[in-house]
Amino acid sequence: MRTLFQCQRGLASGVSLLCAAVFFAGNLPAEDRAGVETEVASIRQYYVEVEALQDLQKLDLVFKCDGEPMEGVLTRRAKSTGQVVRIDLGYLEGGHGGADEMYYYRDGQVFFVLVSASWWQFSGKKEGETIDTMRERRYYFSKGKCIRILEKKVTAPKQEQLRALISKAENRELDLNTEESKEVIAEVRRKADVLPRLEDSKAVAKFFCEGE
Amino acid sequence: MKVEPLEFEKPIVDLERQLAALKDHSAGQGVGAESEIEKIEEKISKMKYEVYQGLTAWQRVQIARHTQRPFTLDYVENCFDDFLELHGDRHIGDDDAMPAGFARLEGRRCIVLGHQKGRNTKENLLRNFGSAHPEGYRKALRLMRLADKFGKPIVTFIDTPGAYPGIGAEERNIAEAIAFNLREMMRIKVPIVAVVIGEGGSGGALGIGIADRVLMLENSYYSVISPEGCAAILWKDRKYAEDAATAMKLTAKDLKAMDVIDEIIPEPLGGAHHDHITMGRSVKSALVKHLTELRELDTEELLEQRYEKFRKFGEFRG
Repeated sequence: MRTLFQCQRGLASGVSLLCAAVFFAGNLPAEDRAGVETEVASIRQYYVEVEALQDLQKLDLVFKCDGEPMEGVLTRRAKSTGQVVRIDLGYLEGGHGGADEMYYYRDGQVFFVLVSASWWQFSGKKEGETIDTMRERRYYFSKGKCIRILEKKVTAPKQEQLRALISKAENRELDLNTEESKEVIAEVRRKADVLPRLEDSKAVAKFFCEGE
Repeated sequence: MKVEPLEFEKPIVDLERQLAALKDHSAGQGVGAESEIEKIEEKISKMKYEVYQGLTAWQRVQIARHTQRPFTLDYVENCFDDFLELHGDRHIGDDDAMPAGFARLEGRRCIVLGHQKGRNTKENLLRNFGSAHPEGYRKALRLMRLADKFGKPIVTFIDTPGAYPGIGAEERNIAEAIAFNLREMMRIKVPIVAVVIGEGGSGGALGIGIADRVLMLENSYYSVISPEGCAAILWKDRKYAEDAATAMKLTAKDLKAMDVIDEIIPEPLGGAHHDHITMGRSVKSALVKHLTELRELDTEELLEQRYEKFRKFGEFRG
């Protein structure tokens, strides 16, 4: 998977314009915009630090919901001190789709979340014709507050085409102040807070299947 | 196939492990431990009898959902010959949660269809956890009409937590597709036998469940909602699912007592997932028996009996 930071490196070296993010910061005053950029730069640095960590303790927790179409794996990565630095969550939901989510933590606080969801549906135009969709959202958090969401979304008639398309797609910055964004941010925050506390499969299943 | 034990089976599995270890030790050391082995074997038999004879409704629900339980395509393989799968609903597309096609049962051509679950993530992505979309129900009806046209009986296998309640399914009128099946299945002029092989979840089950004979496997369940869903509505908490399962009268035994179903097909000790072949034989013999009986009826009798069977559901017996 192409991560945001691979895209960033591409831009920095001037190699890949395809990864260019379209940053429109709405009506933010110039100084606020500059502040956000500084914080995003720090977040990118934290990301690189977590990715470079060696000898992390890895724990896979498999879960399946009874009576609900959902199953998946939650992978915790923690330092030897027990401090969680990254959580990967891969799950399949009913409706021909699923998602991979990655949560990055520093000193117990989430600073970056990547949610990559994909699904297929019938086009409804011609019998058997389907449309596959992939959507990536990147959430940047600073001091517990979401400061930026970037989104890429592509569709294709075949699932195998999605990876290539999304790597070429441009990021779109979402307005953080719409009702939809607020709802999504609250949900990501809730998950980011709870996930590090889930230490066995039962607890993971309880959270995802029972919403507790 | 190594069978994953359910929570309530763990004491049995522990004893079986002890027994295996003792047998290994005794063979390796050349020490006779026959009396001890015999004692444990006796204890295991007794425990199995107690556990499996006294299964609660909730334990049966857990068995009904076991991922190693035989699914529709396992029965197709173990009970039928020459299965030829047909695809598509001739409107929108195909639904892999509802495989369907022509097959032979004891040499006689029929249509067989049912809900299909997956055993792993890849299969569940394809089969959507056995929750069919409208296309599945429309494909099922298309094939049932083919059976009607060619005078071939229909066998349906029910195994779904429910029809898929997603946005796409609603946009393409899942409720209408099921309701249409209910009406049309009542009018189909060939014998229909439905077998609940695992989960019989609500309208999703009924959508292929209007039949002249409705059979249930001993450890399957058939109900208007899952126990978790019922608990969430009634007690605002899914943790009461076990109580809900008991209150809902969803087991084969309960439903037979209320004449909702016609026959209970016994399962091998511990559940169908312990022995697919034996389970397949039992299902096949029940299907042959019922289809032979139904062949004796003329079309008018067949349709009238089917209609009466469903009309009397919910009659108050004061």
